[in-house]
Amino acid sequence: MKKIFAISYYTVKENIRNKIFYVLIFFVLLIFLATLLFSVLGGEQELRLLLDFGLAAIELFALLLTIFASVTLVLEEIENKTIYLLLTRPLSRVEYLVGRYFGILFAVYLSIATMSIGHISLLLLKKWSFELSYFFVIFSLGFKVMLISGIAVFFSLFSTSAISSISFTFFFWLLGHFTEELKFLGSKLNIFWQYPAKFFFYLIPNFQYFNFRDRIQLGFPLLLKEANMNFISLAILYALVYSTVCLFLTNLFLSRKEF
Amino acid sequence: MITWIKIPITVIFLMGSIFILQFFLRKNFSYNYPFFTEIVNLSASKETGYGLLDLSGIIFGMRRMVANITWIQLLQYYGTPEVEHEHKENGCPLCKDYGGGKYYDLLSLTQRIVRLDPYFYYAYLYSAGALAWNLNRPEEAILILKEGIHNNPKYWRFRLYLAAIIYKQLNKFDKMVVLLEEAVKYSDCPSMVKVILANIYEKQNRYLDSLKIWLEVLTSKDESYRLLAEKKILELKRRLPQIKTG
Repeated sequence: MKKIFAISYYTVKENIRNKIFYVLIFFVLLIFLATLLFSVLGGEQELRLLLDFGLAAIELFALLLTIFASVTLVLEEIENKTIYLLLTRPLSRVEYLVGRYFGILFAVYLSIATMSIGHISLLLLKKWSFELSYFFVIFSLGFKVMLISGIAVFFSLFSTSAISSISFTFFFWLLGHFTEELKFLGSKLNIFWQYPAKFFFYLIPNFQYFNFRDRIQLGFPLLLKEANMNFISLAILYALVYSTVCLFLTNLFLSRKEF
Repeated sequence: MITWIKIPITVIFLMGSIFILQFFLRKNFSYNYPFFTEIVNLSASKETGYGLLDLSGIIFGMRRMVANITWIQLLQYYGTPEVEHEHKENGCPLCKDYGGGKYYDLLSLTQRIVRLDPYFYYAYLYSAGALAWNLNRPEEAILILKEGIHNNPKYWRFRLYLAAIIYKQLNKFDKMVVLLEEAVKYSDCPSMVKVILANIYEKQNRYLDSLKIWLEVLTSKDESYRLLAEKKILELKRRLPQIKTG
């Protein structure tokens, strides 16, 4: 556990030094520009536009950070041969992988928290009435990040280049949001194709389970009532199990790799 | 040897867990959105031509964001004079009175918005108000409100607007005004509906009531309404002493 923590701590530090905060500066600039634009274009819905734009930007930046950090996580260390330094120490490959994974998660969560604070401050300046549903949306985003990070780490070792890993992960992100529509399309197929379509539907990660951003209008009590605690706990478990599967498969590839 | 048996068993166990979890999640999950074909068919049509934008919003899981972009399009469309008509070359029957502020695409634009985001209450109210009272097309307004009621059965304000529009159709203006008075009490009432009520008051020579509504419009977040309210308040203030003395 101590070793995993040490690796995670090192990963967070590495990410903060390298890229994350440049993206955050860009986020702040973007959000301020959006404020100027929406105050002119949004009419009476300026606050709604600002809220949605900020939340969408937080999610997109978090996605980009997660994908790029996760994909380059092991690949870069293998290419630079710095992984030798770590693996020659009394550290198993599983510990290394899990440590790195948690490190990325913490770094991305830190950036999400920073972006959210900036976004909330701006909303409050615009006389936004504080809503608990905002935190619920950010909380569910955390599980999306957990899932996509696991998938990205898996693809980083499964495929041969960083570009293909990024493409695969990004494709899964889109597919994961489109699952409900795919289910609808699947129901239109003939009976022979319906079973493979159903299997595929159950296999790909369903990001709509965590997409409460699109339902923020309902407000926290209704959102909680609609989602219900049973569903929320199952969805959290789903994210945990799915990420574990990804890490397990990644570890299989890593353990068979010869350095 | 043992390891190679353990691995497939673990994979099967973990994958099985995902499938079981998915099975239970499906039972508790509700996806209350119209399917993308309903939106894309509408947005890719000749009137709008934004199928790709709407589809990308659905694929990225950002329906609300794209609904907002469409909302800006609607405001720009409804806020600018109509200069050309896309149907012109096809001999569309609507062409003859196009340009006179009929805004025939308002309905399809609103339908695009509310199918992307069925919880966008303000869009339903705004467009229904515009269609019923400004453009005199209550049938279209009713269509939008019925879609709103179907998507949000617990949001009772749609029923209030619907009743007001039906009274308008039946020429029962007094009853309609009572319902509009009820509607403007709520914070999510579009300024446009307040303006409609203020104008009705003015026509009925109820200048003081009209002034009260205009003073409320003055707090709108939309600058165009604030400017209009300032102008009308000055106008009414000039009229009021004459009325009192007269």
